[in-house]
Amino acid sequence: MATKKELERCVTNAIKVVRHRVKQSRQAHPQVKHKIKDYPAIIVACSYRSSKKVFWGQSESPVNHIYEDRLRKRLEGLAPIGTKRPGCDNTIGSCAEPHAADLVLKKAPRCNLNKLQFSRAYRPRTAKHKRYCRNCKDTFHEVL
Amino acid sequence: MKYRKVYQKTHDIDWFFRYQGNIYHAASNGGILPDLVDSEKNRILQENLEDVVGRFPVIFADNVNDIYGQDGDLSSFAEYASKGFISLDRTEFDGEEEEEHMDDIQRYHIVASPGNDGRFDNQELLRLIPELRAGDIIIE
Repeated sequence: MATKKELERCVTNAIKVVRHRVKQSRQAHPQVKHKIKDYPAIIVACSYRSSKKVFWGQSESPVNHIYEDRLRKRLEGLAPIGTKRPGCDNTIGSCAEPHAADLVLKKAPRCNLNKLQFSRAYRPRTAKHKRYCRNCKDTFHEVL
Repeated sequence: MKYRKVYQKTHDIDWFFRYQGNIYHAASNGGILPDLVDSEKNRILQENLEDVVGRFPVIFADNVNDIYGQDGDLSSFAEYASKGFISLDRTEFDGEEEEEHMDDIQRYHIVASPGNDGRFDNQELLRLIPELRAGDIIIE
């Protein structure tokens, strides 16, 4: 079982990885084809309670992303993926939390959504933690 | 070309502008960018500014500890300030009632500035930096 400490450690390492990727993308050799990266707004780590494996996800577009079935149904229960609903400024499915949870659920198909656990959500640029949004609290209402 | 809206909302984009004779860097913090930001020019700036060596002392705003705490990492803002930019961050609000109106609120605050009257002066890159119109964002 991943402890809260391990989740926080994973997300701390992920912050370093993200920053390194952004810097690297901007220092790449001009002759080599490369894409300039921006910081994701938020990253978060997630694991399944009975597993030691921890995954991290970042906020990104849900367009063309196929969510694991149960998670997709949860998200669609709020509003269609890729749209907004009253009460939250974020697009459904764009937050780091469902992206991280999706990785866990695809690796552990028998995992229940109410057995997921999350680290705090962080802004990689400042390493400052932020509160979960209304969409995420409603999607993962048993655990957030 | 513009950044797609969902990309803006999910990324913390470095963008740049000129306003009243000063040169600014701003971190979007998942906010909507003003129309003047062109994604292609902005990426050229991001890439070229990475190689610029910082040569100015950095002065942090008085309230940074209140906003970011003791352990907040402000190195990204300091880096641009050392290169001659007044470095801004998009202001966040704590209240949940404001969460659904974030798109309407584009407020920024100063995090770091260059000391010794430092100012970014690479003319070639300055040409790519757009001029902000009054009312595009609010600088607190």
